[in-house]
Amino acid sequence: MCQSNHHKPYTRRDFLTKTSLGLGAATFASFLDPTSLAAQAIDGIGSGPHFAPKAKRVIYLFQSGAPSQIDLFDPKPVLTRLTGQELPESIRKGQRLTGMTAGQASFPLVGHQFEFKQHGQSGATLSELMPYTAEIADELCFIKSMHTEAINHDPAITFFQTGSQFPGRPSVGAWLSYGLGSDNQNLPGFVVLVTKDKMGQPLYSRLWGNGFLPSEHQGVQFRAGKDPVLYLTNPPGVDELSRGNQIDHLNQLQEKQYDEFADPEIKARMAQYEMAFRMQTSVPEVMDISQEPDYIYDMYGPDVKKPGTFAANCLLARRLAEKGVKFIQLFHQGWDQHGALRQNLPKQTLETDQPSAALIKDLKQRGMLEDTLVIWGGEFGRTSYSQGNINSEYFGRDHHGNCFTIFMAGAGVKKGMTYGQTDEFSYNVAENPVHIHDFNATLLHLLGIDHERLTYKFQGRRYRLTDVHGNVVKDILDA
Amino acid sequence: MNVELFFGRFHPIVVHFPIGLLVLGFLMQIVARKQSMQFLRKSLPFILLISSISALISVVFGWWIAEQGYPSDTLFWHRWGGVSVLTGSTLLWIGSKKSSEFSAKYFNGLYSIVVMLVLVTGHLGGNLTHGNDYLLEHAPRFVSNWFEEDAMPLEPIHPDSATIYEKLISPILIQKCGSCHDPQQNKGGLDVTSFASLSEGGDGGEVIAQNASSSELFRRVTLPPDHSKFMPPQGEPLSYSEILLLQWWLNSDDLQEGRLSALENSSMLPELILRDMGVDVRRKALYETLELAELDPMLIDEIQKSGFAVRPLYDDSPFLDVSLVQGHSLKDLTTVNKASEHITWLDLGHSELDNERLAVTAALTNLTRLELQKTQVNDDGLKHISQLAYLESLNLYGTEVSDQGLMNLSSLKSLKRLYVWDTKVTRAGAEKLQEHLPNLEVILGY
Repeated sequence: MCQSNHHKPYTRRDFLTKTSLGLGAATFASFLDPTSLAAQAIDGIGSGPHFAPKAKRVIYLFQSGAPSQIDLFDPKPVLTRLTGQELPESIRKGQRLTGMTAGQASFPLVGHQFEFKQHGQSGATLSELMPYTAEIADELCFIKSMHTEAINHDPAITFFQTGSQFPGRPSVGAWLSYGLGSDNQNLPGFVVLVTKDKMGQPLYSRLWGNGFLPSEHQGVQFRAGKDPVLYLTNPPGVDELSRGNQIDHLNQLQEKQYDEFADPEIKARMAQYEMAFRMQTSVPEVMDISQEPDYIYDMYGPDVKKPGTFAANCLLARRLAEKGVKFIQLFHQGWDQHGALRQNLPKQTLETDQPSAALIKDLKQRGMLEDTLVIWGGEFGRTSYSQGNINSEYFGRDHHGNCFTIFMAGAGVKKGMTYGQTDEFSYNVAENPVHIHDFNATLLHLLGIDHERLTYKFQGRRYRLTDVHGNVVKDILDA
Repeated sequence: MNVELFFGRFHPIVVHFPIGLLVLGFLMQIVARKQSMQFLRKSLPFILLISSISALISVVFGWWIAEQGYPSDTLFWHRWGGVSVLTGSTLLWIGSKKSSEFSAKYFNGLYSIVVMLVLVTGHLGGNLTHGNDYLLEHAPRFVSNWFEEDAMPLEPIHPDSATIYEKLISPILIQKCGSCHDPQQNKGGLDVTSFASLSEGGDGGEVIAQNASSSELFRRVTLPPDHSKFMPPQGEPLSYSEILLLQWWLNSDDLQEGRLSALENSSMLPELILRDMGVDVRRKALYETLELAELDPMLIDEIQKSGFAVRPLYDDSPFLDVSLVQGHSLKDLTTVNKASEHITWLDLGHSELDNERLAVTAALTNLTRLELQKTQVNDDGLKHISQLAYLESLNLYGTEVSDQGLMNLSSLKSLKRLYVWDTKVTRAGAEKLQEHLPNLEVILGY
């Protein structure tokens, strides 16, 4: 199929405002790699990285609901010692409470509920709930000083994914698709896998949407089940040949429409039809994990053969990465332990610990970890004080945005490192704060993009993922 | 003497007297031009007397504190500026008493000079105490830009051709030690200005030895500053970066000919040397050090037509990242060969590549990453890539290579990561290779 349909079109306004520069860029770029024409960024800068990238692809293991940093990564002996006592006002400093705990009469501190040890040569601190991750602790870079202003899930995840608490902006994957293009013509450049049948905070397709960017940059959700991508397979009675003919004819009509109206969305739609046609063969192929050797299944754990589980999705993520998909995002819900922390947190880690570690090991032994960036984390952290009666078996922790932990592995991040520190109450950041904007700036940096230069003009001004904020965290970058 | 050390430190306190008083007197002199303020003139001799006395005390205390380690240049001007203020102030006092004989013009002129001296000398004194950019640290941008010294220009030297001694060590020794230990003064019989004389040592024997801990030079500069044998006895001691570098150098193998590039592997030194000495010895990626002309777009097109995806490493880079387009069959690599200097990342994994076709890659001299996983390449094929001097990462997982073939890679001096999971390579074989290449990480899989 001809790739030139991906070429971003010229509107009359574009022509008038950018003639010489625009035409030049259009012709030169076509000399280069055809696969990168998918990201012909006339408003953006260039059609590739701004400087040599360390990572070529990202696997983002998003833990939706907010895993408790105190019980998994950042234990605080002071909390254990002061269990039952009130959170001091000098520490809280008037931080707003959510509606769920605002009604509480007291805010008793409660220490970590699980045992902690230091692991590997780097001495990374991890709880007993994550033994598999502990085995590869020396590959990981922990950021303990993440912070966000958001206090509730939807704005917080939206903030992480799009750079703003208000919906409407493109997601990280869409920005990357726009800035870097795709490495594989037959698969979307941005794939999303959500763990099936998990209860928890809702997720919306706008979290992997394209916002105001052309719609070909949106994330495509692959589902577990007979049809990984909805409405992809041909209905009964329609075979590949007739489908191909249909698309060709449709294209002719679309071209006519485009000649008349020059609406960029027409081109985007055409591109996606063609991509869908190619995906009819490529998607079933990549989703079929039955041919993997047994030791791979063992490495990912018992869930891997059940489609839709986090483990199965991790294995799929590796397969997608092998095929050159640039941005693979997994969502796993259920970390929102407002109650039953002791009971439910272990269930969550049982589902995620082994597969996450297995994914990193699998990438490493295939030599892919050196140019793949793996990220693990949620949208914020949890409070040092208990939600609900502290003496109850089923107490929990509320949302906490002032500090939380994320870890990364792979391309361009220092191995065996812990960056940033929280105070003794795990309430505020004590050293080296990393805001979500800083995190996103660093993410783009690892992919070779200057976060201040990848922009898109919309509603009269230029937008970027980090908007007007964000500093690259140089200390975690590996050389 | 304790008296000197103790009273010397009162200089910054006492010196504010003459400063304030002299400026006050000057203001009074100006204001007194008005008829109604004439009475101020009567106080002038008294003010000038106190100024001169306190200036004298300041100078004496200043002389004492000067021994306590200050930058010599600034110290020189501040010292003599202060003495000049003392002289001027005394003259002014004398002149103010003989008001009728002393012409007002000369008096005012001298006073203006003295006030300017006070300002300049005072500023230098502030610099001595707080550092040269004390005032600029929080100044608004337009002010600090005006005063900004040009950032130390980074020397464009190639780390492989310049020696550590010549570029870094020798300048330090000459600057910090050369005022006494040069051919003329030759204190203690030691001349540090040339490598030969440095190696000879001085009256007490050799000063540079097998390593830092047995080096007398190193011992002396790292003594406590108030030790009688501490070097240098006057002036600035060696800074932290300089001592760290000196230690590294004394512990290194080739003192005279050791190249700057050897410093790349040190964890702290490159950053410190860059910050304090303006020399960049950090490890550089190949695409940053090598200059190439851009490749002809027609050639790139040709490579793409034979089934390869070609992208520049980044926007304007002449270096290329070439990979086989997924699903295309590998025909032959001769077109790839035409861009032999430009290709630095090459991905031929998961293809029908065999030893024969691999031979072509020997010509890609600037390869830094080579991916050959899941191909037909085996031990024999590895001979073809044994001369790639810049190769950093090699992926051979899922191929038929074994311990024997691995030794073909022992000449890849830049190799840092080798992936041999799911091959016949054993831990023993990997360790044997690592004896030749100590910086190599071999990933055998989990």
